[in-house]
Amino acid sequence: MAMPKLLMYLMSVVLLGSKACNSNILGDFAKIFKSVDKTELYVIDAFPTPAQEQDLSKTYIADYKVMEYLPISADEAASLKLAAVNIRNYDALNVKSCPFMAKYAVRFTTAKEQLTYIISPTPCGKTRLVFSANTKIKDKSMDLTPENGLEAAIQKIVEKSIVK
Amino acid sequence: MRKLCYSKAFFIFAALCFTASLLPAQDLFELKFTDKLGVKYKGLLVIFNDTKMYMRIAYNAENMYKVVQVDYSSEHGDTDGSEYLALMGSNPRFITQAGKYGYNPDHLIFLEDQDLPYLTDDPDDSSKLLKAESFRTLSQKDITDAYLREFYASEEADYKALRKMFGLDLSTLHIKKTPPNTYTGATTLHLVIAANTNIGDIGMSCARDQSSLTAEFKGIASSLGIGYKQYLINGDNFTKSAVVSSLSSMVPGPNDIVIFVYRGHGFRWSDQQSAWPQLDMRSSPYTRIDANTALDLDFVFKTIKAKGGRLNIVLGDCCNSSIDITSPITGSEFLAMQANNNYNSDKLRDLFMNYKGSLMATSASPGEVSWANNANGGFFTVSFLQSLREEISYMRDDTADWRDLITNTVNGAKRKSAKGVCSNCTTQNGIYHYDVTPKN
Repeated sequence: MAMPKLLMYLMSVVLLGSKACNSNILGDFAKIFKSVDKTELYVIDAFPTPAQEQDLSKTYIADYKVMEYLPISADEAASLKLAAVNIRNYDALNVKSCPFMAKYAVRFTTAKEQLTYIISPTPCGKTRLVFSANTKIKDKSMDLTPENGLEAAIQKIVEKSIVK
Repeated sequence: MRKLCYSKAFFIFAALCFTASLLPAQDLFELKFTDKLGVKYKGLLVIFNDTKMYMRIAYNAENMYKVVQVDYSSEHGDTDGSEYLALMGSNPRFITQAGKYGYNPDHLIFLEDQDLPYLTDDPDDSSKLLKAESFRTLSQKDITDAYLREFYASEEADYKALRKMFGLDLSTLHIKKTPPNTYTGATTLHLVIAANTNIGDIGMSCARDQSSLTAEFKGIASSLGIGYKQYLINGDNFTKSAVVSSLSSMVPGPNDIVIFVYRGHGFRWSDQQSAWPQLDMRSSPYTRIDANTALDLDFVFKTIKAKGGRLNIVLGDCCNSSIDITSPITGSEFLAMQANNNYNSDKLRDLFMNYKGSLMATSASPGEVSWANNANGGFFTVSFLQSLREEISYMRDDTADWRDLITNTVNGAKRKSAKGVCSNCTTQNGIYHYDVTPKN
C-alpha cells in the first residue's frame, strides 16, 4: 500500500522536529565541496592495481589506471559537484550484491585536500569515496540510487566527448 | 558507524516488519498508547511475515471492554535523508462487541532516531499524531494464558496456536516418541556457507546472515537429534579453492542433508547463456574477476548432487546482473531454534527427514541485482529463514513442504525489493530448480 502523502507530511514534520543522525549521509567531509578549486573526470580501469604492480609510465587515480581524461567545462564541473553532494543520489540503507566494476573517477581538489569518487555504473551502481591522506577520513562505499544524478551528469559529459 | 544512530525501537521494528531472521516467524510485540481523550490502549502485534501481521487492541470505552483487530502492512524507506518504517493499518473489526463507535485503524511510524513509534488514526490531521508510551518485544515469560485472554476468545484458532507456541498447552509438553524415518542409519546435516564477510559494501550483511544461518541449522540438527557438520568459507579464506576444497572433503551419506548457502557478490558473463549466476569469490577489490575467482552456482549444485546425499539444498543470495567481461575459456566446467517451543517439531522432522531430492535457488533472474542491508542481511536469505520458520509453525495448518518454502522465499525477497517497500530498490525475481519429493 502506498503511503498517503499526508502521512509522509506528518513524518516530515516529526523528522524536522528531531535531529536525524544521518541528516547528511555523506558525513562531515561534505564541507570540502565549499572550496573546490578543480574538478576532473576520468575513464578508469574496472579494477585497481596494487601499488607495486603499477606501470610508472601510466597515470593512476586511487590505484585505478586512467584510460582517458575527459575535459569538462565550468558548468559541467558545477553539475558534478552538485550531484556529488546530493544525498538523494545515495542509498543509505540497501546494497546491491554485485561486484564493483569501476568505470569513472571524479576528482575534487581544494587547496588542502582531494576527494575522489570512484564510480561503478548501473546496473551495479555504487561509489567509493577515496580521500587524500591528510584528511584522515576513512574511505567509504555507498550504493547509488537508480537513475541517480551523478551517473547522469557523467553520462552527459561522456556523450558530448563521443560526439566530438 | 551509522548503525549506532538507530534507536532501539527502530531496530526492533526493522526486525519485526522486515525480517524474522533473528526471531521466530511469529513474533509478538506490545504497544501502549493513550489518545487525546485519555483513553488507554494496549496492543498486541502479531507478525507472521512482512505482509501478514495484525494487532489486537484492547481498551475500555462506553463502559465496555473492547478488543479490535487491525491488519497491517509495512513500508520501509527514507525521506529527507532519514529512514522510516511504517505500519499501515486497515480493515478494523471488533472481536468483542462493537458498541456505538467504530475504530479508526492506527498507522505506526518508526523513525531511526526516535525511541518510540508515533501513531495516527487520521493522516489528514497532524494534530492527531501521538507518541507511543511503550513498545517492546514479548518474550516467553511475558506470555501467560491470562495475558493472551486479554486479546483472544478461548475458542480462537490463533489463541490455541499461541498457547502451543509458548508452551502453555500441556498436550504439547509431553515427551513425544520420535516418529520413525523411512531411512535407516544416522543422518548428518552438512551446512556449507560461503559468505564474503570482508568485503566493504556487503560484508556486514553477509556476516549477519552467516550468523543467523549457522544458529538456525545448528538448532535444527539439535532439535532433530541428527549430526551436524559446518563448513564456513569466509573472511580471508573466502576463495574459490576453499569452496572447491570444502566440497571435495565433504562426504555425505545416503541419508544426509546438504545445505549450501552463498552470500556475496554475483554476476553473469556478458556472453553467458545459463540462467544461474557466477559467484564472485574475491574478498579484495584488487583481485580481478577471472576463471580463478568465479564459481558457477550450477557447478556447485551439480557437485553436491553427485555426492548422493538424500536432500540437497543450494541457495545463492547474490546479483545475477551482467558485467562487461565475457566468460573465460577454461578446460573444465566449471532457528536459531533457540531451544524454544515456537515451532512444531513434527513439521520440522517432516521437512528435513521425510523428503529427498535436490533444490537449487538463486535470488535474482538473469540481468537483475539482488539486495541486502546491514541491519537485516540479504533479502533472499532473510526470506528463506522467515519462510522456514513459517513452514514449521504451529500457526500453519498444512503440512511442511519444500516447494512452499522456496516459493515463499522467492516471493518474500521479491516483496522486500518492490517499490512500495524499498523505494530505491529494483525488484528481484528469484528462480529455482525443484526436484524434491516426499520419501515415499
